[in-house]
Amino acid sequence: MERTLPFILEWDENLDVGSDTGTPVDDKDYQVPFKFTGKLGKVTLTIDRPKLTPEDEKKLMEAQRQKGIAE
Amino acid sequence: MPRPQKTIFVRVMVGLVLLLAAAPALAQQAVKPAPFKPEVTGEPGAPSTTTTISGEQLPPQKFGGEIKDTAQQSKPYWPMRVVPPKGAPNVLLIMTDDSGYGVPSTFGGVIATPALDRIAKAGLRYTNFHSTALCSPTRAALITGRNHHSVGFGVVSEQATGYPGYDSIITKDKATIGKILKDNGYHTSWFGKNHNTPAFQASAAGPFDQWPMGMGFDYFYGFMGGDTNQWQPANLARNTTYIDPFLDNPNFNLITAMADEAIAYMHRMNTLTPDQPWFIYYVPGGTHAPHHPTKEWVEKIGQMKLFDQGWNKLREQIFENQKKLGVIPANAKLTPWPKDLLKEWDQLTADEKKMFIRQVDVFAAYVAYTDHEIGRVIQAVEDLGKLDNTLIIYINGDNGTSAEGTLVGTPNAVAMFNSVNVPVEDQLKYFYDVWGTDKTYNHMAVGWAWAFDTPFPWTKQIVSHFGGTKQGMAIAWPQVIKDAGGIRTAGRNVFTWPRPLTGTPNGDAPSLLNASYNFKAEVEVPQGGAEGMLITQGGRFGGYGFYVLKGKPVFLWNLVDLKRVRWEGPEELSPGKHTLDFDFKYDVLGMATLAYGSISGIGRSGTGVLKVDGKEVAA
Repeated sequence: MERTLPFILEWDENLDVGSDTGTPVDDKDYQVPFKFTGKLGKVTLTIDRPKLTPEDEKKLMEAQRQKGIAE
Repeated sequence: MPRPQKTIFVRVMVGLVLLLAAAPALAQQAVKPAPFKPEVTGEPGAPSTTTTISGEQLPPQKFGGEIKDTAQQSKPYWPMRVVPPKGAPNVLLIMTDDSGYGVPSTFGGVIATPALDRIAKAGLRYTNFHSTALCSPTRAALITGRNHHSVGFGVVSEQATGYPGYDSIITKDKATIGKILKDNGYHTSWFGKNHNTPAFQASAAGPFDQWPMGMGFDYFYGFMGGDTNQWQPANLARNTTYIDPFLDNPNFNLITAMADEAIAYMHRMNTLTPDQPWFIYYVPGGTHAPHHPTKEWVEKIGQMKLFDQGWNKLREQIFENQKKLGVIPANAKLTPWPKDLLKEWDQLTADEKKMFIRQVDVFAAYVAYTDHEIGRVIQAVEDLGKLDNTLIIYINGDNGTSAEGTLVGTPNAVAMFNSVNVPVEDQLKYFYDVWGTDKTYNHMAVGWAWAFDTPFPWTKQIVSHFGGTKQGMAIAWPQVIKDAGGIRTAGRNVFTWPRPLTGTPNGDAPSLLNASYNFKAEVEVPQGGAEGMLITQGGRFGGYGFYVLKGKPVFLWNLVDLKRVRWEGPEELSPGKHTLDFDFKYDVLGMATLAYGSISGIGRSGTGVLKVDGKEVAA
């Protein structure tokens, strides 16, 4: 996946499990509510947010400084 | 940063409450209320006895009966039910969304708004009424009668931060107009937009203290947040329950549905308790983006060719109308066009002109449609024979017309908030015909917004200029306001608000943007196979879905309806238990780089792998 969304998902629709409210993410695939017809035991979402290492911080700080000088 | 406010906003409503409680006949001028005498009906202590209260506090009602050893010896004493004073009016408080001073015909606009005209003709037109240039703050100020910083709404709810004045929390000591009127014996209700619940409390699990019902409104039918898809509003609630009345109803549109709901409510209250006045806070999503009018209105307005001359000519025309109507001073001068920021109409290409006219036709249709449906609600008041003693306040816009549509407009505001522009060429090719339908979350080019804020410069979000803050307003109350058709120019509700706003709203579900993540779903497939949604957030205009389609697992990213990236297993899931996994490894450093002035961490690449029972099936 070359690019991802940087800021926000569609804000008027909530997180749904087991069916979809509102509008489909792809009209070509299905229409709402698209209820799951099997048994859904459990859904787990684990998010691993990147953490800056001291080295990353140093690099970013340096880049910011250089940019400041250039301006 | 906040600095001391010069004047305070919208004392109208609090003043109104005091007047209602004291003496409705005095209503036009704020005269000192006479000493309060409760109006008591019937025998005190009888079950049906009512009383009025001073409106300053709720008096504890003392028990006036007797409690003896037996029921026979005892005397019951019911507390009196609190009712408004005799002749207290119904109140219909209407406010539209994102609409500048020069939009409605009532204030010189070229789009006919007969409902607002009607109120102005029957009552008074106010030419010096001001908002905060932003949705949640104006609304918070309006319903509490306080400066928006005093009630936690220095910004919109999605941008709240944990500091006083900005935390989106209306504390219990800051009662709303709903609470005050309810405690004085009114029926209170709220229809349409609610942008005053903290974003982190808007889920189906509440807490509900700061939902409309928790803030003193008996009844709520509307959407939670800043805007909604009027065709398929996924954030629509009745009281505290999310509902989806648009399923199986392809003609559903919330602008019409909420008028129907308000009218039905009015009838219900009138049938059950004809003497008890009501307060209806009526705040449609029109005309905030997405601009979603019905096809009939788009055709009707399109045929009028209101905008073929372009936005510069439009400004001149509105300005001229405003002088004729007397809603700007006779010696006013039109502010100059911002040549360094916005192209003049004559500089545009033929394609740009074609697309921008389509955008504004749909917007204008949305204005006309919204006003028309408001007109039905007003007509319902008349049909019930209650117009004479109903105070109707109709505010055009909670702030100026919005420039959030970018310089060229967008078929999808979700794309815009992710900094993705859709070029005019693509708009023409893919979205021209469906503009304003449920296939778009559309907004128009900034040039139009600037023109609709005529005669002032700037737009919504910009608190330093009247384009963002000046709102037309009309108030009618036939029984009391006798100067029908009058114009009021005094600016008693002005205040200044120094904080400029930029940025984007945030959702309340866990954000997996700019990060690595893993979805794991444990499913059981019956004989004959299964399909359906496992987990999803967002929809047609941007989001993701993890689902089973015709037996095969799919993970799909909808990149703001411009591109979809898909992982799909080649084989159908066999009957029985399975674990489905979608694992995404993000390549760069994430949001944290922003603190160093670098966007290198956001919106970049990553690798997704779809697995069934631990085995990779798509990458």
